[in-house]
Amino acid sequence: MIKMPKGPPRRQRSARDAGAVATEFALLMAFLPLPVLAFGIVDYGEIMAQTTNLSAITRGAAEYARGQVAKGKALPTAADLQTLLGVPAAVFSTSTFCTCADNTSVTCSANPCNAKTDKRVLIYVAVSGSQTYTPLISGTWSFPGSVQARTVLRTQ
Amino acid sequence: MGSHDVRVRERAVPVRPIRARFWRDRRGAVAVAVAILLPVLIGFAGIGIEVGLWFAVQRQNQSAADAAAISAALEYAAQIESGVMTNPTAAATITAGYNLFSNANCSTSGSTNCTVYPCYGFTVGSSCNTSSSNGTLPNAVQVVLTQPLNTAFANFVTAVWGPSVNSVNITTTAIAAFFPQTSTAGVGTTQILVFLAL
Repeated sequence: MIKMPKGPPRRQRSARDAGAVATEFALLMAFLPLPVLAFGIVDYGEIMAQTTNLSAITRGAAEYARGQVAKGKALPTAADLQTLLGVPAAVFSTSTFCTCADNTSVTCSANPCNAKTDKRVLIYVAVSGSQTYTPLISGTWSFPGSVQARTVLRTQ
Repeated sequence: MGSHDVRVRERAVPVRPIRARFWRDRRGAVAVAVAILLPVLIGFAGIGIEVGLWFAVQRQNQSAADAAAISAALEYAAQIESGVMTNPTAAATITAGYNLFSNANCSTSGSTNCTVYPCYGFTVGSSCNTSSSNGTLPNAVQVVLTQPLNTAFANFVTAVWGPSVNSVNITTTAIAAFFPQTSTAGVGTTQILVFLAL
C-alpha cells in the first residue's frame, strides 16, 4: 500500500519523528487498563493453580482418612493431616457422617437403620481444606480471599 | 518506513485523492494497531484462563468420580457378599453429589452425565470389560462423569477458523476394584477391600 520513495534510502529518521510511536503508545496506555488486566490474569491463574493443588491434597488426605476409618482406627484430626501432609498454608478439617442406604441422615451409632429394609449404615469421611489467597490486585477484581476444597469418601 | 518518507511524497505530488491520502497518513497508526490487536490479545488471555478453569474442574471431578466409584464398588461388593439387592447407581449419584459434582444422575445406560459400568474379570492395567460371561460376578466398577461446560472465550476464538465451540465436555473416569469376602456373613460388618485404578 505504501510506496517507498525512489532514490537512496535514508539512513536515519529525522529528529522530529523520533519517539513518536513510543509517545503515542504511552498516551494509549494511560487510557487502557492493560497492566490491571495482566495482573488480574496472573491472580486468576494463581487461584486456579492453588484450587487444583488444594483439591489434590484434600483428596489424598481423604483417602488416607478413609483407610484409617475403614481399618477401624480413629478419624485423623486436622493436626494429624498437617503432620502427614506438611502444607502449613492450608487449614484442614475432618469429619464423619452416616446415612442409611436410602441416603437418610442418621447418627453414627449402633444399628440406626434397623427399621429399614436395607439395614446397612454407610459411613462417610469428609475432609475440607482452605487456603488464604492474597491477590496482587485487590479492589479492581473481586477475587475470593481463600480457596476451598472438599472430598467426601465412603468407607463402607 | 517512517512518516518522513510519506511527507517527501506528499510534497512531490500535492494534489491526490482523499482515499490515497488516508492510506498514506500514518498519524494515529498505533491507536489503530492497538484497537485491532486488543481483541486478539484479550481473546488469547481469555482462552488461557478458560483452559485453566477446565483443568481445575477436571481435578475436582476426578475426586468425585473416584468417590462415586468407591461407593458403587461397595454396593456391588455388599450385594455379592450378602445377596441383598443394593443400588450402585444411586450410591454413585449420592457420593458424586457430596463431592460437588452437581446434578449427578447416574445410570448404567450411558446416556446421562454419570455412567456406572460393572467390570468383569478386571485386572489392574486393563480396561473395563463390561460384558459378563457365564454368569460371573463383577469384580470392579467404572464410573464416568461427564460435565458440559459452556465456553465464554473459546467460542469466539474458535469461530475465527471454523464452527465455534460453545460447549466442552469435561470427562473423568475412575475404576474401583473390590474383593468381597463371601465366607463372612453379615452386611456392613466385614472389611470390603476397595482400591482405585486409573
